[in-house]
Amino acid sequence: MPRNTDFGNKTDSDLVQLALKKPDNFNYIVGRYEKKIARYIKRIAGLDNEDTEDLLQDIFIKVYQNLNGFDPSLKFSSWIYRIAHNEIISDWRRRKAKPQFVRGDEIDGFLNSISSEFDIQRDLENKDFRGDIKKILAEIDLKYREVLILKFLEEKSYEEISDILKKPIGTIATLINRAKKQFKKEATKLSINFL
Amino acid sequence: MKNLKDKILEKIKHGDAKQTPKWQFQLREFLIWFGVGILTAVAALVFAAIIFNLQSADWALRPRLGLTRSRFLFIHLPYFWIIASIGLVVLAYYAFRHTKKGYRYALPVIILMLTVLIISFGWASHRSFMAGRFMEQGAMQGVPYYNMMIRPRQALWLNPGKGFLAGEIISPYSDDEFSLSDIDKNIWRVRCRECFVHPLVEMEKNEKIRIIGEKLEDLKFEALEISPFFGPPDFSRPEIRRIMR
Repeated sequence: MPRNTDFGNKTDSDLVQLALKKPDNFNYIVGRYEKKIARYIKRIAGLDNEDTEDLLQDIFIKVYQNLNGFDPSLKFSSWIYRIAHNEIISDWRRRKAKPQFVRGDEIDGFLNSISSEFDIQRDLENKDFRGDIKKILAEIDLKYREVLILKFLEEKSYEEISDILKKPIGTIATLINRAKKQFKKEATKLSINFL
Repeated sequence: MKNLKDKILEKIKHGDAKQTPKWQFQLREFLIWFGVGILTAVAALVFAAIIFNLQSADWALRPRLGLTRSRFLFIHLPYFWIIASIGLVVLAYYAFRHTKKGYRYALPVIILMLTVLIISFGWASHRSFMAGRFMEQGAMQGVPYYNMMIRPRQALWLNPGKGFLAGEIISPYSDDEFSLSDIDKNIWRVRCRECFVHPLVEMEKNEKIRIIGEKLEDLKFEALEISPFFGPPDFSRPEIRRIMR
């Protein structure tokens, strides 16, 4: 089997073509996206490592099965995130449990990303404050939580989020605005101040 | 997480994860676009039926029947076609959203695009081959309860005292007379000595017609103008104008 580095400089589309020709090459796609998608699953569904790996496996199998349906006019990363999003939602429905948000080790990243956006007077060292933020994020509707994660943690553009969630860009902008409002509303309830 | 690649590869090699062939994705996309096309085309025909119905409304009858404009419009609005067109637009929107790039367009944009297409093709089909007329006839013959829905509109023509009669010819036209079954199934003897018969009327058995004239006595009627059941009657002739006054 060739080493990963042999394909390190190939584009995603090249890797798709290679995987279509020879299934072994699909490993390079897995290698490139495994960590990113695992992180996304944890951020959005808050699963433990074991469940994350199971879901990750399902996602990559789905990607492999649908490889012929990949539209090269779309960014491959958007396409794979879209499949991940759908699988996470399906998994959530199967479990019939509300996804738990952001795990402790993800909070800092989230806070760093949103603090300037939300003008929060922050005290990252304060445990109560961190707990409050976790509480807020747990309360926010899934659709809002998801756009916040994609925008502020995954750092996706509006166009990419539109392709991932299959919604018009205008709708994404509206969702992000509403998500911010809901976040602020919940934060105000917990006496978190905005600058 | 170490063995994820191996696990996936193993599944692939054991045939637990087979790739969906490209043609299936292409066929799916083709079928969705085909659906969008069919739904838009049918919606255009339905729109033609709306135009036809509104054009066929007997506006000149309104003053004589003593109806207000709003009441007259309420009776004449083609509700069945309006509801059908809304339903088709919703389905076409839904199908369009499921095309590869359909999600990129906002609802108002898709609805606007569909509306422009439906109005354009609907108007063109109405002008070129009277599509609305065929749709209306088809609905009267094939849609259950359709006749019941349009009964209030037809009932305007069950006014022999005011000179309006409509129904189906049930006996052949001979000796200037024929029999007609009105929408309440009353059998009328209609005389047509010097009446004007619209070129589209063939005066054949089972043909539906509308008559402007005068009631002579019980179930006897003198026709001045016979027009098709569909389409506006010609009120331009002097003797008709006299009746309409």
